[in-house]
Amino acid sequence: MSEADAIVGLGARSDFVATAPQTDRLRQSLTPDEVVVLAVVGRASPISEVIDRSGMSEPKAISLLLSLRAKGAIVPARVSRPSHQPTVDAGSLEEVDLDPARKQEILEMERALDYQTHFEFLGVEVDADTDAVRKAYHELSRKFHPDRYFQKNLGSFRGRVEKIFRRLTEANITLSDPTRRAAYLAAHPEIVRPVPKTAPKAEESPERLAERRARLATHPYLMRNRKGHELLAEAKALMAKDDYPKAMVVLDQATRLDPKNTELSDLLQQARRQQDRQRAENELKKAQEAEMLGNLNAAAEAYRQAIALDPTNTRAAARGASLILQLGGDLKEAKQLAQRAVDGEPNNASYRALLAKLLLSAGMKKLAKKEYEETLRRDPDHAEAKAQLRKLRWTF
Amino acid sequence: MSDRDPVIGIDLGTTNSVVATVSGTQPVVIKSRTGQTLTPSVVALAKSGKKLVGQIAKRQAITNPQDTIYAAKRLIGRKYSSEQVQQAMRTLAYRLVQGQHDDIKVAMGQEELSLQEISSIVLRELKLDAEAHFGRPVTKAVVTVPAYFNDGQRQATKDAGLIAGLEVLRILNEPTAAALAYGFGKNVRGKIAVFDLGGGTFDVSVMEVGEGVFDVIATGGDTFLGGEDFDSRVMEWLVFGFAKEHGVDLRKDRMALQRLKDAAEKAKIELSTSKESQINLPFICTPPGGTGALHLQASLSREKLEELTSDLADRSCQIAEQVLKEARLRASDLKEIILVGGMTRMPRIAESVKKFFGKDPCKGVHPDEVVALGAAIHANSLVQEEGQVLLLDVTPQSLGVAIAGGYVRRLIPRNTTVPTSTTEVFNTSKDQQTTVKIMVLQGENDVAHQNELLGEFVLTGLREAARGVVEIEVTFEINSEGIVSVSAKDKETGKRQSITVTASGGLTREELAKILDQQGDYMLEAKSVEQVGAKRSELESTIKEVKELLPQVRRLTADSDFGRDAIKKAEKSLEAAAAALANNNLSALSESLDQLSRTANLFRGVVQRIGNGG
Repeated sequence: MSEADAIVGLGARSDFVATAPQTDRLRQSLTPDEVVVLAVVGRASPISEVIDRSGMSEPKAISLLLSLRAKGAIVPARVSRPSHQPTVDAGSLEEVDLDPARKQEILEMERALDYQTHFEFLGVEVDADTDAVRKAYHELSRKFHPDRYFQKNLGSFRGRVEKIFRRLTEANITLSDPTRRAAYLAAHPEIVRPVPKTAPKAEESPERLAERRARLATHPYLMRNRKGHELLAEAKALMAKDDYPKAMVVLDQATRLDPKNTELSDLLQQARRQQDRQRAENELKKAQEAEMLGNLNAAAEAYRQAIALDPTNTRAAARGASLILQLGGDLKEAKQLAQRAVDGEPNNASYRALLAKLLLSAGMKKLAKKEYEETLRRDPDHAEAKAQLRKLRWTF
Repeated sequence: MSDRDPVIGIDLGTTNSVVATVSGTQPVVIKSRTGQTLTPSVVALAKSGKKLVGQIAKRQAITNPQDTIYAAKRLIGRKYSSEQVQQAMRTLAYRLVQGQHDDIKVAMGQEELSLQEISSIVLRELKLDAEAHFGRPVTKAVVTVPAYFNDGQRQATKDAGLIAGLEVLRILNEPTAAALAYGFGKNVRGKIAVFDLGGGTFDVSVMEVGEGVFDVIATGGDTFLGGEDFDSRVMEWLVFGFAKEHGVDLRKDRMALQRLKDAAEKAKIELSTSKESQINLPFICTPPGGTGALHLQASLSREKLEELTSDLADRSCQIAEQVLKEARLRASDLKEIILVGGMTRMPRIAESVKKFFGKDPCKGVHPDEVVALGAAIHANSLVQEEGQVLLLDVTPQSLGVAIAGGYVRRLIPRNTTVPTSTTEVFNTSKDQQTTVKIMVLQGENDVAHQNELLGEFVLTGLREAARGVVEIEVTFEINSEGIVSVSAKDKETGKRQSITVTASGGLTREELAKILDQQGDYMLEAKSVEQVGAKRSELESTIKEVKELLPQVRRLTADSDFGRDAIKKAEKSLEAAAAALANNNLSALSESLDQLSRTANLFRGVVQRIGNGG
């Protein structure tokens, strides 16, 4: 830090100043300009930022800061702002019954426990009424109430979820009871009430306007909006790279900021589908590997998994069906799978032949015959179909 | 992929119990094997030594009063010496015995059974009804209790479930269950009140409902206010009138008492629809003087009944008022009032509710079934991947610790949403004090011993210092399963002691283990007998079907290899099935059944495909 950067009586420009606790009585003695600067300081900000955002000339801002310091309304502070970048948490590697997006959300909420105010934690405005508070509380409870994960293996996440839910409850109780809310606000002077909307516009001086803009820029709602756009762009980039799990995490975060955005929810759905498709392909590979190694039961299970993840995966359906037939498993299931393969690719002769074979083993000769005929229509040289059709003729 | 295990919801009532499940998307009541929706919560030991449950137990109550146990719910989880139990004993026709740790035992024949065991007999009956309904074992259940039940009573109810072979997923509050059933599938938004006056208990809860979230704001009640109390008022009136007329105290005669109780209940129910009820109890007693039998004849009007019980109705409204106050709501803020429990059928009660809340109560729910339906909905939403409903329930009573002077410091006030936790720092009260005893209490009284003691433990090895110097940090926690744990920490040394409050239902863990041990054999046997029976009848019907299909299949496939093969195989399976039936062994039966049903399927296919097409 160079000497020129330092401000006598305050410190370096990169140093932080904070609003002193209990400024309520002090506020009476402040000039309007001082109140503006104090509002910009908020809970704690670097001096350079305060000067920038105050919308005033630098010497004026500095003099105001100095007088605030002299009156005891602000104090120098050494704050390490919590980094909002997701840090790597051991929890994210833990094997639990949660999808990665939910896991990420839980970890984020847990980190937010330490630095967010009750308002921020519930995601409501400072002047939100009781109904809005309760609504936000119910909405978040749907995600973070431990009952949502009843009898699931959550490992360390059970404790995390309970902690988050307790905080949500505490925030709800505090903010929906007027007496408690007043007490909470008194104890946290850094929480600033938004300017009443009825402020007379005509009388606004250019300084005031600049100040208002500066403050608006840090307004949680706009911040959110900006963050939402950034997240959306990030998610799109990730999806372009086929990194669906990560895209889902980002999209989920964005949805939380802007729950009503249909573009986001569409994208999230798309990402989820793509991810399932990807996972289905993986399962299919796993199944084929297992089949080659002779581990037939595991292979069948993997085929089932693949089909559950992506019902349109005809290869998995067909191979699964023929494997189940080979294993002497549930014919009904095999038949269903084969039917699915045929439905997915009606012109694939070998799928049709497989379905016919299954129908035949289930004793449904008439249907089997029809299926073999369909097979031959697609592939006139299909040997099995020809042979079987010859055998089936006796029904007439 | 196999179906999910069936889950059920049970309303274990004071007078009647109901079991329900969610079938598809709709909650439905499971009827008993005899076709009833209500199963009386009555257990009896017949003269023959057979244990009876439900309707048949209730029916023989008059002739067998001392071995017929009813209203066990009023006693479960309570202390023998408690005032309420001593009071209740005066009107009970069966005998109570004091257990080893001030718990209650019921004398039934030669046996002395805990109330958990009595309730478990009712629960097992409901479990069997559910198994008959599903055709397979049922082990998972949500059981309801009055919201105002304390921890001990809840634990005891859970133990009863355990003894009955049920995994109790959750103990659910009855009014909450009622609200769930009321709000399920509808798009209800707003605040509602549930007014639940049942057979033995009274509860009132205020909650906010929206988007499938049921958020309980406040709850209150009285576990000794219910239909039974209305009955006793009528009984007392009858006894008093009889004594005045004949100079005989009927309360000394257990059989007379049972008949009076029955008649009082009937008259009360009748007066919900008519203005006047006749009570006729011929040969109610034979006085020792040898003057011949005496008969009781009385006529009770609705006005008289209302007069006899007006304080009870008033008490329920006072409690409702208290709860509204705690919820910081006015009656006009409520969107809907739901009446639950058979007692709300009494016109006077409905009137009081209407007057108090200033609006007509909701008529859309069935007061007897709604609680069980709600329990089933909750059970279903717990085990479902993405449950549709979420309950935010509260602790009905405050939790605290005993402090110097015999007072209570409350750490978790009542109506706090669970799960929750709280920490507070305490100091030593004497100079050189090296140990502190932490007594965990539940209740609203400021005087420690007037509250329920949930458990206690001692923190030792504190530093010797003047009083008020050593700091002890006490943490209370209620987790999502409703289990209370308390820990105390010496802030200086970091020394820690804690307990998890579990064994307060009256039975110690050892006693419970012993009961389960004894039950184990019985249950295994009961289950296998039922299963064998079910498999037998299934196999028999399959044999019949195959035998019927056989000639058709033979005709249709007369000249094919397939036909000859299949028919030979089928005949073999039939032989095996006959052998299995003679054998009466479960595994042989199921194996044979599997084999034969495959044949039956094949045959059915053949007949359908070829028979119809050829």
